[in-house]
Amino acid sequence: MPHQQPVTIIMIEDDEGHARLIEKNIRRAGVCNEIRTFANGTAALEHLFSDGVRTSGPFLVLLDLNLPDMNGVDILAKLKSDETLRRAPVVVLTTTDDQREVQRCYDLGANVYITKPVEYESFSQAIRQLGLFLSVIQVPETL
Amino acid sequence: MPGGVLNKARLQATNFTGELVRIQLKVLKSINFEALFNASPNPYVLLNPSLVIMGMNDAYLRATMRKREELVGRGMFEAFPSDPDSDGHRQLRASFDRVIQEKVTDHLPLIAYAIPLPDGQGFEERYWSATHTPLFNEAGELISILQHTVDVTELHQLRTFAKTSALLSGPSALIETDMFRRAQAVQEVNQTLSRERQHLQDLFEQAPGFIAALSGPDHVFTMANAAYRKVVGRSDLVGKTVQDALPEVVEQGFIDLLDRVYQTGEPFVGRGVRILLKQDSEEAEEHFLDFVYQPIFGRDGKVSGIFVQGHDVTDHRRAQNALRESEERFRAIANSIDQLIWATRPDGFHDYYNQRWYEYTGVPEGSTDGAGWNGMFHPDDQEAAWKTWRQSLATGEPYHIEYRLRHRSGQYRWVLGRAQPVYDEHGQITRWYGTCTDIHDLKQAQDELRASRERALQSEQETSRLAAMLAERVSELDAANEEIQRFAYIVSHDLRAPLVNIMGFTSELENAQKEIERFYRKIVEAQPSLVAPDARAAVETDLSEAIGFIRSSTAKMDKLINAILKLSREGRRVLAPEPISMSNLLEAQHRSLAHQLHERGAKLIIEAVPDLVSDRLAVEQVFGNLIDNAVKYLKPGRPGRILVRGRDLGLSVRYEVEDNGRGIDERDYERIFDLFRRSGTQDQQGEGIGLAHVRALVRRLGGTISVSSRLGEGSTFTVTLPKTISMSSEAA
Repeated sequence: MPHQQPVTIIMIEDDEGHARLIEKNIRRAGVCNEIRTFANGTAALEHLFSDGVRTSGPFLVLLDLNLPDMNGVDILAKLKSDETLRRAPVVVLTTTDDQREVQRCYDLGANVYITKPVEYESFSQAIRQLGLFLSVIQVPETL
Repeated sequence: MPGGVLNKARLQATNFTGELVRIQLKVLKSINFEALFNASPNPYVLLNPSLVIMGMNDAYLRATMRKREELVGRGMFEAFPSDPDSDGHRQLRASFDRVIQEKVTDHLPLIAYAIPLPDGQGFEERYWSATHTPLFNEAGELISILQHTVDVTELHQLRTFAKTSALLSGPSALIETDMFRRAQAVQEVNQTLSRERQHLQDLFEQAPGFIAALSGPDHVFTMANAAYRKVVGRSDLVGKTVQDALPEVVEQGFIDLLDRVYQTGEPFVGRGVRILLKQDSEEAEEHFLDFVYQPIFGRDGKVSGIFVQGHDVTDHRRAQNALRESEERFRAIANSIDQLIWATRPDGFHDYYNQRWYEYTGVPEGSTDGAGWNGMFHPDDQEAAWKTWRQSLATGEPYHIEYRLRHRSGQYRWVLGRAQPVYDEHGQITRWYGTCTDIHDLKQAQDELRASRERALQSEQETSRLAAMLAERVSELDAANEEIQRFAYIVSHDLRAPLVNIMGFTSELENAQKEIERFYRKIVEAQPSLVAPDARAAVETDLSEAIGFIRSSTAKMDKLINAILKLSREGRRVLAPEPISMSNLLEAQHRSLAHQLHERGAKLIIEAVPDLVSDRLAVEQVFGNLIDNAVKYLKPGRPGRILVRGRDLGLSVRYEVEDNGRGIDERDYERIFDLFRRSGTQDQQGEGIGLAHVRALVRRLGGTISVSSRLGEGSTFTVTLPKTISMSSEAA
């Protein structure tokens, strides 16, 4: 049996408020996994691609597309082109539901695409679904 | 033959005369005439044309009482000298002259010519009758004159005696013979004269001019030649008076004319006189005559008749008339046509212009004769005109030039000048004929055309420049549009991010408020004294009120942001043209609205509408919005009636959505198409983006939209779209 590691949530989100709200709602949904928050893409990629971290998964990436230093789509592409990190599910969180953008993210390998809602209820709902999702994938792949 | 040798030697010693004698003798000998000559009882002497005596017979020697050697080789007047002023000398010389000059035989019936006596003792008066006969050689040249002379002294004396004595004695046989010969000779002379008269008559008769002689005061024809008879058309003239012979001329005044010539003795000369004569037919024909009535004077110095001589110039006159007619016709034609016509002498001297020239230029007739024409042209053209004209005059080349002629209005007008020379039969130029044709309007039209062509070219260049500018502007606009859409996208993104926070943390606040409220209730229950009025107000009213306002505001803001996003997204969508059945499309919308229409008691009527090729989604949204609006803004209390109709305009199609709803104030016609703007009472759900969206779509489809409405009566939205969407109008 392979060694079981809990999923580490990597949240790449420049908006502190969003980050806080997401974290709060994740916790409120009963998810207790470690959440590492990065305010820009550079720092997040540096961390993920650093020795010891890259192979220390499993990770779940919560990715905001609007980042100050780089486009979230580029981060997604980088992650999905890495042999190890590509296995980490990526949840794209964004403020728009632009179909072209959504499609592009899925094409690049995004697993879930969630529009950040302004309604608290719907947002909580989404997070809770995300929590359920996380619990599902908390059982790491045995491949 | 010794005689021949001797004869030859003698002849050689003699001169030219001797040679002729030899020839003559030879001729005579050949017909054995020499013996006859010598034996003749009649005296003969042979002279050469210089009147040198070459030979004679014995009878001659006897008659003249001379010896042969005294005479041969001597001139006639040397051998028989006489006073040059005497009648005899003159008569004899005249006779010889006549023979030599006229080469005819001449007779001297009686000539008194004294001859010297043989003893040298003075002269003896003699009367002679002589005949001089010319002799010719084979070439017809006069070589000698044969004189046959008879001494008629006795006869003369006898006649004289008879005259004086009236005594007639019996004539001797000799006299008889001579008399008979003389009579014969006279007869011959008369015959010659008669021949001469005949000859003259022939000449007269055959003269090409008409000739007639009139005699006496009644003008009796004594003669009329063939030409005359031909002119008057009859031959029985001689012996008749003019009046009888030519009755038709009486009334024409010719008799009066003859009378006047006869009376005054003054000749009359008529030129091209018109006369009517019955020549061949009964009908009198017109003739023109050049003639002279020349009075003939008698010995008494009085007019005895009139000599008529002249020519029939009818043909000439007709030719002249024809020429004049032709000239008149030319002038008539020249003056009737629009062209200006001129003519010049071979040296280029202008001597004719037609009326049109004078009408056109307004200058007095004759003022442009000679070289005056040049001044009629524009100062800038005068030199070129001279040069061209001189060139034509020098070479005979046709004249061809365009120049400006001064019109009577003072305006210089463009004319085309042309001239051609006319040659005579010797190839000499007799005249130049020229024309000027007004080509001003034509030339101006040409210039105008050229200018307009240039303008067209310029305008084409301008158009392509504008098109290039437009294309540039379009691409700029596209870029700007793209920019705006990106901007709208970014703005909506960035506006949304804080909104997410506001909403999210408002929710947190609500959660917190609930906690606080629960805690507050506990305190109120347990320790009411601790609850201050401010705290009560804060917990019970202020917090929930504040949160409520935040919520409604953020909800509204969220909607606005979504609207912007929607519009910006619509602008980015790629259009997909396809054939659209409008009636099907509208029917589908009718079905989806059936419930709403039923609820409101309204009717949607779809008339026949043209189809088009366009973007289906966009067209659906346009009409969906318009019909939605129509349903939405019906006038309460009035059964709604919404009508959709269309018209095919050829390249485009026009649709109208007409309702009987509450209508739109004219001031809002434009405003309703603006984003977030609405008209009238805000009693319906909406963000004010529907019509803005519709207008954006219609414009993208290459069409237009407008509204006409009356407040309280209804509105009509008119949408015009290209029948087939052009993708080039859609900036890619």
